[in-house]
Amino acid sequence: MQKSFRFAIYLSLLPALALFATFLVFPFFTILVTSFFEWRASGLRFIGVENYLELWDSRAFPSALRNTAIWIAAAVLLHVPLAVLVAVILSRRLKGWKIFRTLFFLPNIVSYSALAIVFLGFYNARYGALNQVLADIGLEHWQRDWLFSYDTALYALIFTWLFHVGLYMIIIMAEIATIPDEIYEAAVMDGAGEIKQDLHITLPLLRNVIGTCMILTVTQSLIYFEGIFLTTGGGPANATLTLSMATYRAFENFHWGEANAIGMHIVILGVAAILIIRRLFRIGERYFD
Amino acid sequence: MSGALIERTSGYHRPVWLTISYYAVLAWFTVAMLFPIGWLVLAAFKTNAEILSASSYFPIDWNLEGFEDALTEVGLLGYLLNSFIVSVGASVLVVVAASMAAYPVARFRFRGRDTITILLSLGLVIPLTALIVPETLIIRAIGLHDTRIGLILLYASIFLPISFLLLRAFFLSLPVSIEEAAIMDGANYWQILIRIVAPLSGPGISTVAIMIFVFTWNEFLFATLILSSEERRTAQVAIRFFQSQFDFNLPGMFAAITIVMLVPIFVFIILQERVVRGLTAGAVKG
Repeated sequence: MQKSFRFAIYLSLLPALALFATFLVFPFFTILVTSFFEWRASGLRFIGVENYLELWDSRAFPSALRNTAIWIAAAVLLHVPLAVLVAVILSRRLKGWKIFRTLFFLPNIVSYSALAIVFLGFYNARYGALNQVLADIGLEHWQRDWLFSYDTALYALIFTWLFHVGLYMIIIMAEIATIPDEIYEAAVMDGAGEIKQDLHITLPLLRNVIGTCMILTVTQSLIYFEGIFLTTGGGPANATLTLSMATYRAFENFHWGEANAIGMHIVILGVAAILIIRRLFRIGERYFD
Repeated sequence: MSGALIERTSGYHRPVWLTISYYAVLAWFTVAMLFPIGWLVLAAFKTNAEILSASSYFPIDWNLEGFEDALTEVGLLGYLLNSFIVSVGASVLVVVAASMAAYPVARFRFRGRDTITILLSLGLVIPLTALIVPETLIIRAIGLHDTRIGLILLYASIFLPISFLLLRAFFLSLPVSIEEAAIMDGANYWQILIRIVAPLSGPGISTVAIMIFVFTWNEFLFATLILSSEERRTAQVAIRFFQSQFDFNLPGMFAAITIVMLVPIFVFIILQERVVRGLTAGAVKG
């Protein structure tokens, strides 16, 4: 029966495979290969690891690497734990938990580019919401041009990653809902309060999903672009230059080989992060039964 | 939904200080997340002078001039229409291509089946920002630069892996008996796919289509790279030019942003459960 379907099945797979090959596989191998070429509008010339050496030797690229690393560290160490905290609290089904869940998730449904304008308004030196609040609570001396001062620009942008916490929260809440009630009942009988239950029961069972959220946040921070491009553009003086922003800059300057070498750094860091987090959180291993 | 979480707390009374702490965290988080967006939406109803003076959070009179300017001065309606065409086109294309691939992978044994699943799962983690040079040049090479078709094809490919994996999981969850009966009756592959499986797959297919609609509606980078002419700009690309277009008309710009944000928010509020289910399934299985 299945033999007669074979031709139809391969035909049915064709559109997806054609799209996948043309726009994902082929570009991927293109950047891999051409990162070893000098590639400008005029043509291609093999130069070995020259692109990589030039990058590591430049002033801009190490800042991009450093800023990306800081961003990832903050996303993993601050934003994911915050998502866990909020998810655990909301899973206690306090009054109004559904409304909070919707509110926290809403910013994830808004485009990065629209949010970028929100940040411009929020951080604006002259009329911005943040400076307005600081004035109202008597902290005028804290006011500054948040996005365009060298010392604060990167941290001001990283803070905006808070808007992604809602997605991780939703994913973690879905996982908490699958924990069998009996486990908690036994703990309640033993007189364990909610904090004890969460520390000793919920958290250990969330190991897998926390790892998944960390992978998500690392890969998302690696490719994040809009909120930087539309606000600081990587400035002032490379203070907010990230790897993806640096890729775009090289592309715009027609240094395509260099752009692809930066792209390869994004690929390698992404793969490394996924492997490390999978190992640390032992993702893929079953944890009960 | 396993549900009975309320029962978890039966026989246990939460101390007041803990309840207060819970709400304190939630309140702080609500303010941190919604204050910036709320501030911008309120500012859209202010006058320019009011915004610049930074005197109050709420507008003195709620005036709609900003929204009038947004809709009439910069061609926002045209950009929204462009976004709509591209997002609908991409969602339809990706759902058709991904279903045609996910169905046989979920149901039949054939050479290369597992390889396809593994390859497409790997496609999920390719960092797309790294691919801007080849993507742009490929679109140019096949003569689709600055066309909606080019952007639709690119979007369909970018979102193919996630759509494929979600639809595969969905097809695996469908009972196989009706299809078996149809095969007994001599139906061919396409008849089964189009007449039997497609009508049964409404929930799965529409969840994926809605997600891809929102994703493509919000996409900025590739839209900026592919669409260069003003009359094809999507709403997200238009945002890049708002600052110069609106010059110093801040309410106009903020109103335009508010309108662009509203579309996915409406989709989300109406179809919340479905979007959330799709996103969590994607994350957990991906």
